[in-house]
Amino acid sequence: MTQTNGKAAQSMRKQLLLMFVICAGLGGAIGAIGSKTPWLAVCMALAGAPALWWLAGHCLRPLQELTTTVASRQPQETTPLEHTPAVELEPIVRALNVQWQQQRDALEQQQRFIAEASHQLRTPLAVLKTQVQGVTSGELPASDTLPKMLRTLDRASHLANQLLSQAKVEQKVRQAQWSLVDMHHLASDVLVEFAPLIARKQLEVSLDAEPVRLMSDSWLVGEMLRNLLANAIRQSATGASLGVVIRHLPDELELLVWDNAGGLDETVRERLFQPFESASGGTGVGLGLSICKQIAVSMHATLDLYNRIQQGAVVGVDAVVRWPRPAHAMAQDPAVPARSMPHAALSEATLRMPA
Amino acid sequence: MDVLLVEDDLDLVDALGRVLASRGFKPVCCGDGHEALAWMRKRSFDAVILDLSLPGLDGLDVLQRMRDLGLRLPVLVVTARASIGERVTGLTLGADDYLTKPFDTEELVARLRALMRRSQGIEDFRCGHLQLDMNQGLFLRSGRPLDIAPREGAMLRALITKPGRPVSKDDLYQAIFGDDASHQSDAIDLLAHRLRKRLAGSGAALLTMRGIGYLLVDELGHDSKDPA
Repeated sequence: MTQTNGKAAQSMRKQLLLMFVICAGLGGAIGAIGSKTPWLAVCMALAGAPALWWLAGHCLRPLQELTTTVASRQPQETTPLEHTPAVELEPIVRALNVQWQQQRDALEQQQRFIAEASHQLRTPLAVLKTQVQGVTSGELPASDTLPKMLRTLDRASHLANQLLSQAKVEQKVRQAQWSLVDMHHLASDVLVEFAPLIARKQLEVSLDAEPVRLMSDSWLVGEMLRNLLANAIRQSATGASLGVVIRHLPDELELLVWDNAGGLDETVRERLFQPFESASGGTGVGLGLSICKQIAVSMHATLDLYNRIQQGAVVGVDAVVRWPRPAHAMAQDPAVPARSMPHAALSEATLRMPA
Repeated sequence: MDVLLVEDDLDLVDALGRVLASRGFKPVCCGDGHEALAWMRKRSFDAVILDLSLPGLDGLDVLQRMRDLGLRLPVLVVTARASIGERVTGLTLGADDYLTKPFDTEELVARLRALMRRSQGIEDFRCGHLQLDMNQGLFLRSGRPLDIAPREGAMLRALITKPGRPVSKDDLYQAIFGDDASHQSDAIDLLAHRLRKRLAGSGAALLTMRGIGYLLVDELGHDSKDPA
């Protein structure tokens, strides 16, 4: 910005000088043709030059002052500029202040995240150290403590994976590779990936997908679905049912992950999208939904959690992602016409209401 | 069962070496890619456990050199990067399987044994108390032949040979009926219903993944990969 302002001042000065030379030249030429004393016109034009030069310098002084102020700031300085050198420069100063405010917010958010991540990572390490020392000194029985250590390790590993996933999402959001993503194939592939976890809990799983292709980044959509499914599986009891629905709505495309694992408390619902927030009694590290929200926002989609009501009782949670349907952003496969969803649970899903 | 363990983290080598030794393997440990190749040239191994991040010659280079030298040992790659793991199991790099760190030692041993059996041509498939005897083409339940109708057997075979993965209805139809298109698609559901009854108490269960296919589940808990 500083460099740009400096260049602008220099360019304006050159333009004024050029105008002066042209005016003086024209004045001289006209004077030489129309008058018997052309030397007088040339002298007058030359005499005006310093005055015009001084005027240009005076007009550009506020811009130069702003250039100097901005150039003298440290790269990490984000405090707003309180003094505006001239009224004409107020829009520039306002734009600069907005940009610095955004930079400050991003830095603060990053610092909060690092502080929380440090805490979250160090806690299981501290627990592990205590457990190892307890077993080594004989104060804790090994048969009881070792399985607990394994659980602590699993939690730390999961957290490390989620932190890496978050970092990758941030990178991918900036460098998304957009293409037409076949949502049915993508959901099918993700469910196949989760087959071992599904098998372990013997879950009844279903995929109800209309033929839809979405202009998006397949890795990002896949990562969002993985996180939503991992949550649903983690919350589900052995033998429970869960599923994925992909369907067209009048103005939107909907991706829905449903489970039958009970509802969410209204007080925690919005907090769940914040990093390191998880539902009470949950075993997650609290990054999955925050990652999903980040991905959804990057795609101009919305992500919400609803309690699903069946016969008057809350039975589970619907995680709903909705993309707006601009004609250029989505293409429905023309070979396969859209069909209404036959799944019985889906009609119940429409009865959901906010928790 | 001689196993070459190529890993540069000494703590991991120590712990894993002990686990392998206690499970009947004879591990030889080294922490360098060049040293690993030297070991492979002078001695025969039944399998290699290969870390990808090695000083000097990294794991990918070791794999490449092994291929160039014509060494066809089964290789289980261990990596902290899942995306690389997926690539090395591709044909071009020649690894046979991969595990992502941190891994479960039980799983590592199970995968290693499976790799060695496969390389010796003794590939058998098990789920719960069920076993598919590839030589005789028979299903055994707790060591005794299982009484099963041919079409149910074809379905079970298609499922048990893809452990941990669901099999689509189309693939099951092909495995059971071949090119005969005269059967209704719900014939698969009917067979699944019968097979479910047949498998009761066998430690193997048939799980429906509606919209995806069917998945054979080991109820005794011998599942492998965990993506989460």
